[in-house]
Amino acid sequence: MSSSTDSPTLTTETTQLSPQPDTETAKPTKKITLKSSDNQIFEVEESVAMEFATVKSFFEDSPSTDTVPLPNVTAKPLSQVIEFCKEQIKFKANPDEAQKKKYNAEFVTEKSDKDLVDMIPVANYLEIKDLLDVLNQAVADRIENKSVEYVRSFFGIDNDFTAEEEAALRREHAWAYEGVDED
Amino acid sequence: MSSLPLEMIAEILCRLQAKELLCCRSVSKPWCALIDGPNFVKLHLKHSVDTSSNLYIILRTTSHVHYMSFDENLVLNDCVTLKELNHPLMCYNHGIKVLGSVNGLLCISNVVDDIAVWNPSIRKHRVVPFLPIELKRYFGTKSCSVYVFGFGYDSVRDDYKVVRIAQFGGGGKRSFESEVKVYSLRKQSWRRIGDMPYCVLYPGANGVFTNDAFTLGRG
Repeated sequence: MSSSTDSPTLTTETTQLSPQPDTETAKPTKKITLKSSDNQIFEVEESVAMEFATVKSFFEDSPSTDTVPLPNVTAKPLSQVIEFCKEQIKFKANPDEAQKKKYNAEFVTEKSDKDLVDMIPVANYLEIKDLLDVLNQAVADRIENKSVEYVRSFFGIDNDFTAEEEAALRREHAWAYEGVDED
Repeated sequence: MSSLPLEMIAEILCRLQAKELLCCRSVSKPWCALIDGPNFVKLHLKHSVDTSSNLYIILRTTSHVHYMSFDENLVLNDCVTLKELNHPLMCYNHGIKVLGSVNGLLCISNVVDDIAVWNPSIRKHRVVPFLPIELKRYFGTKSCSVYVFGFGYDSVRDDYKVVRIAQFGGGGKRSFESEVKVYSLRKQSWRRIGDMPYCVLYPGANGVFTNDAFTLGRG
């Protein structure tokens, strides 16, 4: 039982997205096709797709469809979100809080800032609460105690304050800016 | 990196500490408006309560207030650091009383009976205006023998309130009168409400706020 060593192979599997069957599961399971906004096709097991509340309600409304279009979602973050949900299914079958925590921590640690931020709207749109929690906390940890300039560049935000306005804001709570990491 | 919508930013920022949020106000005008808004304040509070984060123990000596961080990772053998808080009601004597606390706000008073509602996390406070007893009514007949205070959150009106119960002991053992006033932080004014029909037995103990109500008794 070394699930942590299994996960790298799973990662490549989801990004390839070949129609070949999942080698791990012997019995055939129903597959659901998701189509990203950049027209990439993702075939996922029904159990994984049902983790996405948005997809689930789509199927409840129109059960006969075979492809779910996801107009707000691009391929890269979607593949990462699928990777995460595949693991969560395993934890649902065999609950192991410690392993789950470890997996969730590793999942976010190895992602770039951009990957994390790009996954948030996807998790939000697909309504995957657990993942949103993990992502929001991971991003919060990365900007924790960082300088204002760092936070701006992290999120790609333009400073719309005049120099005077910003100086006044900083003066108002000068003590809060002490001991902040510059980079 | 594409910018996230503000409602998603809020879900990230509600995990930061108050000190960090004060810095984040300088990021941009929309961020400043978001952090200052009542919805975000509630979101931050709810997240703190749900996750048992941002917990502090406030320790008071006669003249100083200290705090220490208290979270689930705290191990008793850990080197616990006490940090001093500069309270906003300094006068010739630094003595201070904590009249009550709720949702990270403290209601404090000093030796000259100034009262303030204080948020130590952002180092801001608001002084509660001085309220004399309705002297004319009681002058000459009875003297005010007991004051008790309570501080709590009114979830119906989304308001913080200070309650002051003044009790006037008179001649007979069972004869007492009370004057109950409530200060609304939202309206910034005091008003009198119905008298309390019970005699305050433990004058030293202020009201404790639990389950949307005050409990009076021996602390």
